[in-house]
Amino acid sequence: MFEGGGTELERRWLSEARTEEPPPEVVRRIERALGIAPGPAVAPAAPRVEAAASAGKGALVASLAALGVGGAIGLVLLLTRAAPPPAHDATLTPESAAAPTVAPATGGPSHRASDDVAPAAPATGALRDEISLIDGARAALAAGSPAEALALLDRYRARHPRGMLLPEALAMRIEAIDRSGDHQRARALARSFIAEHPHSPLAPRLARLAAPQHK
Amino acid sequence: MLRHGAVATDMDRSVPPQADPARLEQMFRAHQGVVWRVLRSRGLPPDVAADAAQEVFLVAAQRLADIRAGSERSFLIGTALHVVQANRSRARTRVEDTLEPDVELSDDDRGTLDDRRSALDLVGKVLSRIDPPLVEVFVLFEIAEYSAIEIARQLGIPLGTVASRLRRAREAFRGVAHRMNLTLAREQGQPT
Repeated sequence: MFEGGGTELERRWLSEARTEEPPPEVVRRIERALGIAPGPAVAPAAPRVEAAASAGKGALVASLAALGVGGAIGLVLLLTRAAPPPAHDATLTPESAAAPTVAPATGGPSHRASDDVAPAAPATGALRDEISLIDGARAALAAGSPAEALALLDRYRARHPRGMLLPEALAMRIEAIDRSGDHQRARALARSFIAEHPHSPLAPRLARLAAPQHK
Repeated sequence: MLRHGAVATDMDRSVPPQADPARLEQMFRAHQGVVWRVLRSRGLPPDVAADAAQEVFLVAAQRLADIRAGSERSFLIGTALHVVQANRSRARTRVEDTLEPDVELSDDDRGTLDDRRSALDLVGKVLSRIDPPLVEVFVLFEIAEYSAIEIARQLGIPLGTVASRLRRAREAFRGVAHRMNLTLAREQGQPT
């Protein structure tokens, strides 16, 4: 299942998972939505594997449980793994595309007024616009432009006061405040966030900013 | 147990007229599989994953001009992760509430384990019990077959963090699969 570990069954099982394709009806649906002509017949999904449900069939699940992880995975293995074509720097940087899952936030830092804040969007928000603003803010941070990130986050806050990515936006705001040099304020906000949401997946990310020695 | 509601699709679904149809089609043909696998391995059932996959490519259609050549895969997978996150937020389910120390099997779980299911079904089922930040790294490495450096870049985290989360994800995977198997074996009166 993993390089250097796992049973043959696990490796085969995960290998099968990697080859599964979307069902033809899903492909056709998306083709229609995108306005593209139907493509060549899609290869059927990977053959069904017999799941482990009994002691006899339990070998599959049991073998998964008995992974030969064998201690920490060598970083060398990860670094030398054959990789797909590298992701080039994009206007939308790869690191801006993904976001950790979040728990709902009940509060957040105050935001500065922005001169070009658009009218607030409907309460349900627009997912694509949310993603665009969050991605843009993350790219701005990565590019060393916290002011630009904060402006985008102001826009996000105005357009999506109850957006689905609001906790991510709050955490990113704290990071942008820190990057802009206001470490004391960032530390206070990070501590507040962590105190309110100790189990949030974002909490570890903000822990560094909340540390007393962070300056 | 996570409840996956419908994917938020309250934006206009139409493809912008300025979108490059040839490039859009090429992106879809080349990456529909990995997008599907990422969504499914993050625990989305097939019907919700279908909605999510469509949303991912519609987002790409709208942002096509901003996606640099060669970064299509990264963009699509990043958007897929966003859509999963939004789906979870929309379901208003707290992640920590789903991480049960003793895995209880729902009827759906039993169906997955008893019947012939795809490998991706079972992987997604196990991963749905694991802390999402760990699952993200696991899925990017094992399903999307990213390198560690690509994962670090995609998620904006240090390389050491990638290694740490992957190690913890694998240990968690082992634990959940083991408990799930024990629970099922007990229910079936089999020796554990």
